[in-house]
Amino acid sequence: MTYLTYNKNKILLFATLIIMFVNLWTIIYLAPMIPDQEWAQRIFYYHVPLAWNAFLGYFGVMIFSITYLISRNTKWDVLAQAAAEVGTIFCLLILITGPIWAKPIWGKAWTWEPRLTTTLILFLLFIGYFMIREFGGPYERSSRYAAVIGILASIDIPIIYYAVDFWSPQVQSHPQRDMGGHASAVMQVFYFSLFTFTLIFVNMMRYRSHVRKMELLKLEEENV
Amino acid sequence: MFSSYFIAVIISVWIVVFGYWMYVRNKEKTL
Repeated sequence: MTYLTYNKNKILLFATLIIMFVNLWTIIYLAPMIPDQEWAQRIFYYHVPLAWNAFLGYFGVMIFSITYLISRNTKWDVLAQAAAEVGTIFCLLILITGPIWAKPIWGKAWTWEPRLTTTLILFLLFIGYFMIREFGGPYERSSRYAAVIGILASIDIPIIYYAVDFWSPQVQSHPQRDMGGHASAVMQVFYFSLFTFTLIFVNMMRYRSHVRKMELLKLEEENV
Repeated sequence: MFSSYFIAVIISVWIVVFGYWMYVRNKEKTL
């Protein structure tokens, strides 16, 4: 049984694709133009929901890893791995879209300011996580190691979020955490985009964990 | 007028998301 044989998965994917196009349309035609940033400002509607998705994924890794270590039920390990992969895909996208936005706005694509540096560190930590998964030995052992690394790496998430408060404002390029300064039209488009990307996240998580589950079932059958 | 930066963002997001989807699909096919 493939993932798309189930009707609910098909409907979810189809609905997500339509909402993705609607989201693009609202960003292009409904979002108000902010005078000093022009088109580059619209990258915000992609960049911030991508960051939300990455954190959702990594937060999932932490929760599922803790549950796995306590219960030793493979179900949680499957979910942790799926969350880690999807989170890293979105983390990669933050690291791609950020510099594209920064080039016209800050004048240079990358500065070593706290939030950028800590995000890059998080990305590299999870590259290590996948290496442990791949080369950590037998399944039971590698997934236990991976769970511990997943939990430790997740400590970086609040550091990224509060990076704008931790370090002095002189070294910051990112805006402060409160977004109160935005007009309501901006926020409506933004929340719709957030919803769209959360749907994409749910689709990817479901698909990846389904395939991983099937892989493990196949391995079990081969070993019996 | 579209900005090339904006287009670059949309294309890169679609490529990475679609690419990952194809990667998972490929794994599913080889099962």
